[in-house]
Amino acid sequence: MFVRNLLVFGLLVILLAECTNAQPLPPSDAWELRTKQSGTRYHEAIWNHSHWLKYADVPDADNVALVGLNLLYAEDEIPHFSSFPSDLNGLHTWVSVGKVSGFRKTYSAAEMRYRQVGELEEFTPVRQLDISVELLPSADSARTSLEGIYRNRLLNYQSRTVSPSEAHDVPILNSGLPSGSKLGDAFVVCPDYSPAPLIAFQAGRALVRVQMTGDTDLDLAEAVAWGIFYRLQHHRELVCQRTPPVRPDGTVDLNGVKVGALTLFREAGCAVQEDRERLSWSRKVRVLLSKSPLPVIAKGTMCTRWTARVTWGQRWVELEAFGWEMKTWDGRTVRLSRPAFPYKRQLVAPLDEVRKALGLTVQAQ
Amino acid sequence: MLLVWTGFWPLPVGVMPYSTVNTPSEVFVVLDAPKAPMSPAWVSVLRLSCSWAQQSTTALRAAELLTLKIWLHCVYLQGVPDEIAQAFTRRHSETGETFYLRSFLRGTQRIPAFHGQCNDLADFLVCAVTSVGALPLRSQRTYRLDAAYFQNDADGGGWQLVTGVVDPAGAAPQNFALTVSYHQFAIYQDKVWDASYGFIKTDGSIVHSIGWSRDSYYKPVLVRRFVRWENHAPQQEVRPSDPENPWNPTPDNGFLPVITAEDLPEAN
Repeated sequence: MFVRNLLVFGLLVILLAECTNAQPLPPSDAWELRTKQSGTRYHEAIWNHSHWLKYADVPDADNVALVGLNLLYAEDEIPHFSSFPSDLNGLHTWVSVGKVSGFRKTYSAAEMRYRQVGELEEFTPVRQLDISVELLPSADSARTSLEGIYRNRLLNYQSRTVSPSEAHDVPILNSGLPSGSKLGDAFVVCPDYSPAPLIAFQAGRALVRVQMTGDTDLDLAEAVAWGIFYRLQHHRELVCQRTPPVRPDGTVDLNGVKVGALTLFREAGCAVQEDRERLSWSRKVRVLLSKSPLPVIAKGTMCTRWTARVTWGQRWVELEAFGWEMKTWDGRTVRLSRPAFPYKRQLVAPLDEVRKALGLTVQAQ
Repeated sequence: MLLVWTGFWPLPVGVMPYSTVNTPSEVFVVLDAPKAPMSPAWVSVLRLSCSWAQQSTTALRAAELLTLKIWLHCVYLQGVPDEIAQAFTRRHSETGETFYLRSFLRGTQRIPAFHGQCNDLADFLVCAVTSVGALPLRSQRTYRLDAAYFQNDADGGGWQLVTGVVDPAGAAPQNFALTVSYHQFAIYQDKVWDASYGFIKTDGSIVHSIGWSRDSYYKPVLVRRFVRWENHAPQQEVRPSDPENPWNPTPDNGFLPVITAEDLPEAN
């Protein structure tokens, strides 16, 4: 009897621990009250590999935090990347809620690079994505910040002694995306130079930065940026629109191109099959600023494959998450004007382009 | 060996700081007593520095390993004087600066942790090396701040330097020459440890300044040429070997950065 109770108790503890890990907001005992030199008081928490700051003057701070975090991708939404806690400080997410709120998450590639420096041998991720969303008080202040990024990067570029082959790497305002499209209200593309290429855009009062260190893949960075832009459209107050940008069926115009969940094609009689492979990982990490001297086991999941196939009769097209192309039943590869990206566990893509590739004569919605 | 209390503070009177389940403490094996500015040493710094310099038995070896590890793991931000490019140092003067170490270790909503300019990486190297009781490193700049040219300078004059071909700390391997207003590194006596740059040799290999003689060896590798500006326009180029070059490591004996756990002043 005692052993059985012990087992039940153990299972409850494990369950409780799992629930605690899944909780997005830090519990009350994780917060510490701190005071800045200026006298400003704020709360700080290091929780679940995330660093949190919450300023006292923000009403409904928890809701703002949840909105901000949901603008970022979940750890298992970008194939071959996950939010592995940093080997240096054990963190992967940064949340600050205040007059200016900021949300930043680092996604590291599972693939590692071997580097040897002298007798030191190191493995580092071949690529890291750092995505940040800042919510500013107004669209004007967001635009000013974006222009500040552009000016800063331009000065950085000018202070480099570049070789002729790098001359095309100059930062560009409202131009220079690999797709050739316009993104958001305004955007900056800073190509491949130190410390990392950057795509930044402003949509309403939101300022988004997608920065990539390691091996460069500007196509991926742009695809990631479009997905964040789509998420922003679900918050009318963030993109400063009078009417909701999202239609009732979830479709949105992304700078003139209508995108929506591929599952909408079911209404047109198509079969939609999503194929998503995931694997679990665990790592022992030390949280540098933690009071506990002990390392913790960080656990997570990573997506290794995420595709969707839309079939209409004998015809089909296949798209993959953050891909810019779709494969078709007749062996063609069709370039997309907007990438496919995940939202709420479904792939979103340019509907008209998919419809056209399938030869559908009726609207998907 | 350094026994550090990481339990509740203040320490209850009469309670010895040894490790039990309820009173955790950490043991760090170091070469000597931690030195200023890491006296007392920060636990968060020791957790990294002791791991990075493990198995070192000499102060020189520890300084070498810590320089290389910072170059590998931290990221050099090339920048101009704006909010982000200042990274984690503020209150710069001819005799020192304030290094927001806690913010550097933790990151902010705009700047990831362990990213910084030469100031940050030099100051962090000073902290890492002194925390393990190795060399009493100090930070030093190539010349006085008031001799440097900044693009937002009111007087529009001063010096910049163009580096040799370097691979800055962090990120993917790169190589290019940089133009900077000045450069900051760590010194002990007349030797330099520089975690910001790996220097690319003509055969493509990378070498690091780990105890290089500052004036005779480090200077000509670091600097390809100095550029003098007037009214925001370049006026003159000077080689490191020319007598009128501005090389004047400042302050004479370097400085200890003021280390703070305060939050970096920024938005909010």
